[in-house]
Amino acid sequence: MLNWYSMIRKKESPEVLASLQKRVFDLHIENEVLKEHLASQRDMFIRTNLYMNELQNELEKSKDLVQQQNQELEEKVTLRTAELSTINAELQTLLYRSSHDLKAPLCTIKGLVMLLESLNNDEEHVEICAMMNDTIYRQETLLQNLSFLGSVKSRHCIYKEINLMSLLKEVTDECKTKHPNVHTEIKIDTPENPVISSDTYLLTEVIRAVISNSFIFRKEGPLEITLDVKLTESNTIILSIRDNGIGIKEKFIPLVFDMFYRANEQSQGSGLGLFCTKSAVEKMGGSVILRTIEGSGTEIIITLPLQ
Amino acid sequence: MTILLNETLEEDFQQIFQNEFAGVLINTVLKIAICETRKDYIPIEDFKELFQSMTSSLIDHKIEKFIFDKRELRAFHQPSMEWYFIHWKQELFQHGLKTHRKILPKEIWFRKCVEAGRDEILKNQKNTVLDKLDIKYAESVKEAIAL
Repeated sequence: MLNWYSMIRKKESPEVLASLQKRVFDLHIENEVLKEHLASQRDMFIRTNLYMNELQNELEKSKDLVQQQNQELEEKVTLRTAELSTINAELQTLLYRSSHDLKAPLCTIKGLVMLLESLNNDEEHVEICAMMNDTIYRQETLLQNLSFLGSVKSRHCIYKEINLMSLLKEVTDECKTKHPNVHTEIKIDTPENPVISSDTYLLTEVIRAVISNSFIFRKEGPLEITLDVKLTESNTIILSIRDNGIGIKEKFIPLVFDMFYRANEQSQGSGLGLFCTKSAVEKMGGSVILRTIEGSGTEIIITLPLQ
Repeated sequence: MTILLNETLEEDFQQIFQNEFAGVLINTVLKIAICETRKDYIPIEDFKELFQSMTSSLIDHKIEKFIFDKRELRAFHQPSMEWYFIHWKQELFQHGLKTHRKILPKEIWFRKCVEAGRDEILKNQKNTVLDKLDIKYAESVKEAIAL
């Protein structure tokens, strides 16, 4: 350093001095700018940090609010679910009790009609008694469906081994007995010893509901019902119940499984049979489809798991 | 054609001002001005000089869109930004400049810093023309011209 200064003095160069002074001044300015730059950056980061903290706080508040709202909603849902469960249970009870209680007077009427039938062999008298029996049968079916519907919704399936051949025979025989005046031909085709694991009550009611429909929606002349059972490789059983009844218009097919849906105004069914069938089949883990040709008959195809 | 620091434009822009911190270009047909920063920091006096120098040209040529390309910046001086937001924009708004397009550096931290700075200005300055301006962000000058 000393040498450098002495060199300047020695030369006594005013140009060098001026140049050095300018350089010092420039460096001073640059230094000031850098200081301002650093201060701005520091200020910027402090501001951003505060801003981010504010955002974080707002986020926390929003989170708390959302959690609180969620909790309130959960409580409301729990409350409503409890209310709905109570109402549902009451409805189930009402359905079950009323359908059972209505059966008793119907049985009495049925007995009285039988008595009436035995009193007179007059053709007109017999015809009226048959009409009364038909009405009683429809009413019985409706009550049976209502009772069944009540139990399907609340039922926990009880799986047992069922011999399908025996079950089909039992249900078809029972239906035939209920319609002594209908000329019926029933064919049952099953594999040898068709045993499945299913809920006896539900399966019996499903088959009964479908066959009852065949009786209700029959044409003039003999009623033909074909029951066909097939086992598939995918461990399912396919039960087809086909009749030669009046069938259903194609446009109504998507609606026939709806509750209280009647395919035509003249329909004397309850509008519950197929709804109950579908509910019960689904309860057993299966599915059901309907094929029909208006005027030629209907086929209900039920697929159920084998186990 | 115009060659900028970060991209080349098909349109012709004429340079009306430049210093070591920024350059200002205008297209009088498109009525667009571009201010392109060239340093990572602009001291407040140079910042004000830059904007005051371009003001009369922008007014004379009835510039309608102002594109501020801040991609080279890495720090900003809050008082400079306040002056730019509150005074300069307000003055140019009186002369019909309502459309502002901004291009920020890619760095997310810088974008957050801008957000924080803007938030503070908006909190402190209630009576500004900011809500009357059409301000949008773009990723390039080309996009800003089209936007």
